[in-house]
Amino acid sequence: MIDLSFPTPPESQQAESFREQVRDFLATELAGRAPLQRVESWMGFDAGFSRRLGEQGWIGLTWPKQYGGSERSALERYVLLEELLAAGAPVAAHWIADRQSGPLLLRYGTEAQKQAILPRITRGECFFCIGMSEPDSGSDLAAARTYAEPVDDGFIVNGTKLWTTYGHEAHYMVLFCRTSRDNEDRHGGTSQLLIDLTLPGITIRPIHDLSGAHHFNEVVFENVRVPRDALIGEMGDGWNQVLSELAFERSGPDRFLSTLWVLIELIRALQGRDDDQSRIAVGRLTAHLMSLRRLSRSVAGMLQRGENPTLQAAIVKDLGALLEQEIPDIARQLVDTGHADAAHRDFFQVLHYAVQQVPAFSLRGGTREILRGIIARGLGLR
Amino acid sequence: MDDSRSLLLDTAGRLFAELRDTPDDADLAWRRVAELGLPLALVDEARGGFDLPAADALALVRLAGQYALAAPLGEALLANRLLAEAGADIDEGRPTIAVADPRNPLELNREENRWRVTGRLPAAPWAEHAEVIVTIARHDRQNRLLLLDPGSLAATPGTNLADQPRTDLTLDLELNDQRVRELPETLSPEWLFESGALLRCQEIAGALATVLDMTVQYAGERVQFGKPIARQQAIQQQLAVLATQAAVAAGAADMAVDAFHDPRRQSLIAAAKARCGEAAGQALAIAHQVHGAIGMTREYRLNLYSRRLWSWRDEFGGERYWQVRLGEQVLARGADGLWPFITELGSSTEGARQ
Repeated sequence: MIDLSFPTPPESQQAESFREQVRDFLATELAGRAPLQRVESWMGFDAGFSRRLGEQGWIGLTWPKQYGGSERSALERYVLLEELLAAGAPVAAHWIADRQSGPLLLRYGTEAQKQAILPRITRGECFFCIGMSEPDSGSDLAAARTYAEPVDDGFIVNGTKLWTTYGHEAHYMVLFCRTSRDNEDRHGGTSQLLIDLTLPGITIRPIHDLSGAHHFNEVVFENVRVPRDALIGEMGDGWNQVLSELAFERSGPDRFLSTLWVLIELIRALQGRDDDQSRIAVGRLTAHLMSLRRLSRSVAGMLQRGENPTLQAAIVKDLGALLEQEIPDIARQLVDTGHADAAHRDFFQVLHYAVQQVPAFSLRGGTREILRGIIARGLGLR
Repeated sequence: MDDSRSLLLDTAGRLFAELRDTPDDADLAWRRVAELGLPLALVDEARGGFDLPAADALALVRLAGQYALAAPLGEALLANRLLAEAGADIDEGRPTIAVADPRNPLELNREENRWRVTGRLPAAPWAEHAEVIVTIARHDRQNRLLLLDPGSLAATPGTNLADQPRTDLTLDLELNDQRVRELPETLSPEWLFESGALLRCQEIAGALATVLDMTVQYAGERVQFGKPIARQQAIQQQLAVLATQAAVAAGAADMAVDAFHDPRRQSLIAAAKARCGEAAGQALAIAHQVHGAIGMTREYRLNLYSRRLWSWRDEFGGERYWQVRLGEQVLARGADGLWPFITELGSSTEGARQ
């Protein structure tokens, strides 16, 4: 029997009372935030909000206190994340650092790196971007060509990173790069470096997305001198490290709640309607959300226990992207989009925003095809 | 999984595997299942059953779905539990349940010192093979278990797509007090309908696990263009989607099982049955596509699962029914009530695992 089991998600009364605390905070903090801003989900950027979240001790929630963390459980963190997303809080500034860069440093970083960086992340003062994709390396991450040439006092980096979300706002990048000229060894010749984005030789250029918004960037490295102590973990162990970083990236509620605000505004637009078509559509999407949330919380429990849920995380993300992408399509079956009724202005705004974003949801964090390849491997097919 | 649960499931799994060669022999399957006492698994120890959490007893139903067990174990589990709850004798042989459409409940009235019940029990599972059929009706705000004698009922026999007996019963009966027994407040006619849906969720989840296994195995054996079709990326991607549907059906069924004792079970079971039904449809489409023509034959075992899955999808409320139920609750709470609704349901009160 193929084992695809998702263990029962752990329950915690403490996490549920924490939920109330988070809701109270967000109710005040986000009062008056428009639906069009809320639907930005974890792409909404507000450094001030991140700082205030940090003051609550809610960035790096599970991290050790010695690095500024709050040593709370993974379940409490799950509750915090889903409440932030469900409320449409602008979390982008600290999201990457909290989700993957910080955990990566905790696991592989040197003591000096941890002490220098982690407390600043938890205060909401230090933002990260991801340095994985390149012009010729998307799904095929091992094809990365950015080269950090080892020299006496460190590295000299040359290359280009692409699709770097909020690179223009970030203080640091975790750079996945080659540290060996041996191109035969696709995995072994790679490492990860902690890059201070103010270093000379780094140029960050905007790439506007199809809606005209600026999230993406191109980050060019030209003979950038990086000190030796920027190495994260082991030289040549970049591939294994980056895989563990991706596991953090694929399992959370950010992988199925991105268009929750479209559903919320749809329900608002349907108020007063008395037809089964609305009930069926809303009931169906709610059933999908409830089922996926159950699987996602199960993965959180596995992470808490130190298990490796690569397969389960891929399943959640694949199903999650389908749901996130389907919500706007279902919504337009219920509300006449050829006639933008002014009474439903918020609905149309979030719908039109989402329509322009959803294609990315099955690209970012591993394309649909890559995820299905991971699942196929889990089935023993490759 | 603790020891008593895994021991029970191991024992049952060995038996169900043994019975795989006779998928049409319901009598044999029933005898063997009854010998192990499995139909009592949802009855409390004090009433002659096992000392098992509901989730463990219901795990047997998933296992039965996984092995396409010929006997209606799930129906018997529920029937015996209700008989025990009503203080009735549970040694009446092979019991089953019958459920009125929730929109068209039975009418139960007191006439002198007798009861009169009228109404319809559509597609009652295995009614003509059972010694007793139990159903729930309400009279004067009191839930009552009706113990019906199959021989005394107007019956139109039929089957579902999987040839499992489904009989339409029309009731216009007088019953004595022995056959109309008080039930606790929670055990309403709706409870029985929801519990039926929960059985089907478990069976769907079990059957989909087997469908996934069979399909992956077949793709590894079937050679075309000089290599197993499982080596083709197009097939791998399809099998991955099949796996996601099997996984989400299992997760949704778990959610329903955990709601067995939960006062908010209706919403959770609604979500689970709607999601499981959809998963069954999507998963089967892929399983048949990968199997090609052989999967369309009566001889090949896939049809044993696909015909059951297509039937179970509809029984005890199809997707439309449960989506409407869930959708009306969400719409009634309004836009800002959606998220609290989802999170409240996601935190258990008294789980079925305790």
